[in-house]
Amino acid sequence: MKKFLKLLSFIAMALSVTLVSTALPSAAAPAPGTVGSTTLRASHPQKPTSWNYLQDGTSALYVPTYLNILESLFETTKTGKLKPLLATSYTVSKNGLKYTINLRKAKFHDGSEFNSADVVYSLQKNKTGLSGVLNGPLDKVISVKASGPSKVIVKLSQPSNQFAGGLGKPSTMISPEGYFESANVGKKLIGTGPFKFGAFRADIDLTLDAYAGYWGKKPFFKKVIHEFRSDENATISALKTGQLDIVGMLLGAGVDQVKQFQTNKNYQTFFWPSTSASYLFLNPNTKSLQDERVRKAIAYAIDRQPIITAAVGGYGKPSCVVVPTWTSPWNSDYCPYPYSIAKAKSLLKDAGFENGLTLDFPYLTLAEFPVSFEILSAQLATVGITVKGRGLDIGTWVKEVWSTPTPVYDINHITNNAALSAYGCKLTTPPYGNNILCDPVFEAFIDNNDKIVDPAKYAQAMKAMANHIADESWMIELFSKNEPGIANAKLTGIAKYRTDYEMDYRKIKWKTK
Amino acid sequence: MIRIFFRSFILMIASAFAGSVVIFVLLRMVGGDIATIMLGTKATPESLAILREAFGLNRSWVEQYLSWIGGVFRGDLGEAYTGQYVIGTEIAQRLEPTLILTFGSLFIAIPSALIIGVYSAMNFKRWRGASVDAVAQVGLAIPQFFLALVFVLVFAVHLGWLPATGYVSVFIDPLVALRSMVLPIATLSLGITAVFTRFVRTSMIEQMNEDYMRTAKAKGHTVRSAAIVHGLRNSAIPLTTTGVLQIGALIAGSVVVENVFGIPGIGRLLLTSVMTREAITVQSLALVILLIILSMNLLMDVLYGLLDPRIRHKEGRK
Repeated sequence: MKKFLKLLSFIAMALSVTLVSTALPSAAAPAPGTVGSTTLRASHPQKPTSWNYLQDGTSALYVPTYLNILESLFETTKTGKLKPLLATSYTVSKNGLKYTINLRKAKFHDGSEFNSADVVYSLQKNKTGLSGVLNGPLDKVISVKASGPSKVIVKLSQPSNQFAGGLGKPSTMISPEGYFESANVGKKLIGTGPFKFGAFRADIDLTLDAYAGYWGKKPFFKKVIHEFRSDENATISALKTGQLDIVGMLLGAGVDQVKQFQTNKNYQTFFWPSTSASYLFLNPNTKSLQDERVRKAIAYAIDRQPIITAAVGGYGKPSCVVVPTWTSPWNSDYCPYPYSIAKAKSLLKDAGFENGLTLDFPYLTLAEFPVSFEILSAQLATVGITVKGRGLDIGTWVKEVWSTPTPVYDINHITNNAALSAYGCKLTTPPYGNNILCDPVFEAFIDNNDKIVDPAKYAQAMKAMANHIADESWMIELFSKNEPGIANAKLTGIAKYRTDYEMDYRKIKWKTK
Repeated sequence: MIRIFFRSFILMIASAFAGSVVIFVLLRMVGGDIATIMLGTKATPESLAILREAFGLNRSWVEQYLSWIGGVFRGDLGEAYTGQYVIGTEIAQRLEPTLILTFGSLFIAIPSALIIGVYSAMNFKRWRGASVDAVAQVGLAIPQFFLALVFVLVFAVHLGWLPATGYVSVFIDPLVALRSMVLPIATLSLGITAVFTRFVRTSMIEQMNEDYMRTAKAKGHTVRSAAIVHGLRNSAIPLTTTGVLQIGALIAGSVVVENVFGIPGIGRLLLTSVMTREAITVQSLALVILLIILSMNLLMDVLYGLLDPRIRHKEGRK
């Protein structure tokens, strides 16, 4: 037994020596994180569930792939204008029904030539995509035909603002003809972008390899390792130790840590302008909420700034209109029911709820939702509304609340990037969807607005639509948030105006000085 | 001996089969499916129906189960619903870091617990023994995610000795692999060391009051040598059993540790698969974990039979 104990002591000593020796910094520092390295390491909290973009509607798929691997016909610039990508230019007929699109010469990552047949194929496929991101802007497309190898003619059933804007969005992403019938589908993406789809480790990372045959300016980084990291504390530690160069988006615990990086010269912080609206939505099937005085009372009871401060680290802007992109021309300061406890109490009393009201509030147990629930429940309690919270994971929440003809909730909170037209009663987005609440005024806005070609008139019509939603109070906008990201200060070229479904690696490089 | 093996083996197969049914049913009872996750807030009833049809989720539970278990018997766990990976290959690749993490933790925990536990037991009436016991209690109480974050902050961020996250295969670079596993193993092993320490301590205190210990002392052994030579041997066998039984707890702990340290193991795959309702991956993973635990139990049954003649003889009389 003494021998056994000696052996144990020896093992313990050997382990200690090994651990200490391995703990010493190695002479050859790891390449990523070093200025001059041609490998970039970035992280994003969302992991894609699929690589088949016809089936998958989550932004996680687009974040590493759109613009880097897959290119659309145009891209949308900071000012909302279209900039050529796979298309060089386009013309529109006077009646707004025919688009003639001219294409550039390019090669796919599999070596095949890009031509008009690929555009015809891709647009037809994208129109059948299951996600609104893909099929929404193509809704009015009635035909796509090739006119020679480098020209495509698209015909619409009616003029469509959504289509015009969609030319610079993922709805016109191009894959080679026959891709969706090939063995690659779901496993590997083939595009024309500056990076090729490299090694993929499910829920760990995706490697993007620079594409030597790219038609445009080649990216600086030869390799980008895009990691999927949900634990934001661990992500920030990795950034601090140089294992990461960019942390793409912070949604939860990491938001509170952004301030420490803002004063640290070794890092740069950036704030992606949100393309999502963060709002409360009320169940039209709940009897008490069918009384508009109760809905207005809820709207009056909400003080938005404390929610922004606590739930999204202060990186947001209070808002009363549901406009997904806060830079949209139809965004405004319109607020029909500004914070007023007295008015909220008075309306509840008029509605016969002077003794209070209890509502079911299932909330998502991720990102800002648990904290916002706590604050909202406290604010509503001050006017006599008791909310009973139920924390749900995303799968259960979607099943109970969203996309169901019999939703189980009274009041809820979501941050959603869907366009206002996605809330039509024939679609599924609550509270208007699933034919639960068919508001004829709102339906008329959806039908008519898309036909307006003049940008100024379109903005005016969209503003009227957003204000109508605010007046009705089935959806009560809370805030537009800035989504913070952090990067090594020595990096430049990060497209800080990009949306939450893009991490644009094309122009990132190390600063020369 | 052969009878012990066969009886344990049949029990293991039956348990695995029953476990697979329970896992399958529980997964279907959890709200939502992969189609709702993939389409998220942009789903329509039509698009959900198309996706469910494509993934075979609209079939009856019995059909889905038979299709999956049939594949298992053919050695084919199938593909993830979304086609991103082949499940069998993915699990095989991810077993390496998880097994290193799990068995590495056991390898650290058992000898440490033996040394600390014996010391504590021999001093159990003194402040030194009580202190060790108190420290063990603290070790039991600290949540793994918290411990992991503290370790990362101290050893990776502030001291810069070890990487905060990541994993390199031992087959690629053993030294870097060891560096990357130091903090995860330390995190996972601390709690289990505390459990074992308390187990050894209690067991040793009991052993020290046994008649054979008095006999050993009467034969000239000191308290320490009697404890080490006789007491520890008797305590070590049940500790090994407990250690093996703790493998399930270690794999459960690896879910947290792998997520914090960015280790591409089966714990992390399990967590993300549950979150995304990748049911076919979850049930395959759960079955593999179940088989690992049951295999270890089988091994223990057989080893017990070999080590303890009373069990062999008892089995032989049946």
